[in-house]
Amino acid sequence: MIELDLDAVAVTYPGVPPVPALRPTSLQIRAGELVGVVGSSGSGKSTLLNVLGLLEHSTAGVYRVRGVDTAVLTERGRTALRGVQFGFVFQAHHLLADRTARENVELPLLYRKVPARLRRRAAVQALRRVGLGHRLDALPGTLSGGERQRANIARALVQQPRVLLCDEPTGALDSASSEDMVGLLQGLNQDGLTVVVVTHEQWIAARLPRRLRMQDGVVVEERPDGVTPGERTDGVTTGGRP
Amino acid sequence: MSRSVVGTRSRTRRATREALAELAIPLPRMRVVDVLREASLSAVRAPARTLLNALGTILGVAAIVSIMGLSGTARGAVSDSFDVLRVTQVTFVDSEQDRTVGRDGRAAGSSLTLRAQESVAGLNGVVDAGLFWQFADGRPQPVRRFRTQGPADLSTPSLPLNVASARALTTNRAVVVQGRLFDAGMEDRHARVGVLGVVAARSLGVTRVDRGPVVYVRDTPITVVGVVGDVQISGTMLNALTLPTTTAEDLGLDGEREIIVRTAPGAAQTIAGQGPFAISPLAPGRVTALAPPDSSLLRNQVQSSLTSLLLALALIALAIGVVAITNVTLLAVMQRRSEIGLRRAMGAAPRHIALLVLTEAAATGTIGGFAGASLGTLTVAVVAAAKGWPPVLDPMVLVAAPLLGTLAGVLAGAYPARKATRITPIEALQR
Ligand SMILES: Nc1ncnc2c1ncn2[C@@H]1O[C@H](COP(=O)(O)OP(=O)(O)OP(=O)(O)O)[C@@H](O)[C@H]1O
Ligand SMILES: [Mg+2]
Repeated sequence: MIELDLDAVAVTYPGVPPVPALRPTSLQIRAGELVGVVGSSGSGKSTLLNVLGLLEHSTAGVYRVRGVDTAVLTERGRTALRGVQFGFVFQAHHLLADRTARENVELPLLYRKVPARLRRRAAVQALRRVGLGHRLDALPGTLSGGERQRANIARALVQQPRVLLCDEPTGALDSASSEDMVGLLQGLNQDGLTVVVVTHEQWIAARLPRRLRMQDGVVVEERPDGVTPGERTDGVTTGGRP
Repeated sequence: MSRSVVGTRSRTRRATREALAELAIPLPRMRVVDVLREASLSAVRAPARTLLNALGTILGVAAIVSIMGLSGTARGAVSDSFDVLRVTQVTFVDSEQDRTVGRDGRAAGSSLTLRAQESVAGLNGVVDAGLFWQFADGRPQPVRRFRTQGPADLSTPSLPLNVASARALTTNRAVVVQGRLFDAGMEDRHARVGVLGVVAARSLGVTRVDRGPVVYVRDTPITVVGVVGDVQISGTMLNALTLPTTTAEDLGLDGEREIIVRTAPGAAQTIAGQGPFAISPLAPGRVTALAPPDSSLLRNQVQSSLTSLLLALALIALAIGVVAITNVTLLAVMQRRSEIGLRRAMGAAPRHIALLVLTEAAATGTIGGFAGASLGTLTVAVVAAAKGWPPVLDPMVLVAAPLLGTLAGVLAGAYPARKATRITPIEALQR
């Protein structure tokens, strides 16, 4: 089943001259895939991820989520889809400093009208799942970098999204914590979650079954087993409308 | 570029509903308790920010409460001095239809009698009360120094004839310069006596009263017992001959009667209400009370101009407060861009963000309203104590002040809330 489907989607930031952060790209991600996105700084990795996560509007092309064209959605509808479909893990942890780990993890459920008791239970479950069951009431400031990132993942998981979008989740972590993180993501993927990870660390990219390389807004399919992009059936076409 | 493809597709609520139904996804919704809980959590967990936010409201509401309180207190003090000096006098007259004077000069059944005077004098809050009238509306009447047989001619002096009860003389605070005033005993005996004003005494050539000089009114001898040099209420006494009521009635000298009442400070209104019942218990409508119009009018004018001035000041204070809170709230929203963006990324719709900002502003405004009301009350108490005035503060002001804070918070939160809805989720991530 095709989960996410980009059809000639592009993002151009206004400016003089305009910045073509994502050139027209056609790309499909199937349910249950684990996809890595690599590329040099400024190549457009975050832009791609933000478009996938409905955080950013594309300026051209058609983006379908599970077959539904996202262009028809009002802002509230986009928000609804974003909130249920995607979980986000960013490089910076983006936890609310004045809320405990549990309260932070409950956050996405606030907007789904989930009663407080169920919110609490779901948050505790998600925190246990990432190994933070012992720090439920800690404020983010008192957590280590690795713990914060795990709280972040717990928050991304609490509403049981279909796709986890991670933008350099290990960027602020030491190598041991990074190792844990990659293991965690792989485990989640094995449980059926679709995962897209932006990373600039080669060793992480090397462990992911599918890999996209970005260069100046152009997405190139890259496979760890050395098979060339042209041989893929569900491959990627870039550089203009197909 | 195929930008137009995105632009032409309709983003309607209907299309959205259908698309989301296909994916079995509900629109984001929030429970009211959660809105309140989130807003109060944000307010409580960041006390410094809340205090800064509330500061505008605290100062604004404190300004309003203290202005209201001080104006009330000052007005109380002002009206106190007005009342003490002026509004201690009430005059009762016969109502219009009873003022007809008979052909013989006697009032056709006036309710204003010596008995009525005593009833009024017995009322609580009455200092003194006296029956008084002027014969022929104060037009001068011939008063001769000697008894003569012929008709009055141009050389005969004329004086207004006043009629007063013994009590009326004291009510009027008549000051004796020679001799004495006639008293209730003389009045009872229908004594043929009278009191001259200093001006009248001079025109009649009466220089001494110790030998009991006599003047003639309608050929009736009247012994002058005293000369008055000053009066407080009815200035007409100074150039007139004033006779006791009983004597005047004997002589057929009637006129439009009035009972002049001097009251204790602040009792004038009450006495004006009770007087007609004391004077004419069976038909109080026959008696009309006249409160002195000049001083109360003056007082009302002073009060209303004072009130509108202070109200304007209070409104300016409120406006400044709202602008201040708007600024601080806007600042807070900008500082919290990333939090707001994060909430948007987590599924909060723009309306939820607006609700959060508004609720927080309203909560902060309410807290500020309470604090401001306390501060304002304290100010009023301190100033009143320093001035030695009794503090006057309408309790409704204290009830309304926190609500005013809430209102100010909502007003001040509206624009920042609108601004906050424009913050995109992406802004949370660009830090
Ligand atoms: N809001 C914006 N306005 C204008 N240009 C932007 C904006 N956001 C990103 N860009 C530009 O778009 C290009 C792609 O940016 P993007 O953040 O996707 O890169 P990236 O691959 O994630 O880089 P990094 O590895 O440093 O995070 C860059 O040239 C960047 O300067
Ligand atoms: Mg990036």
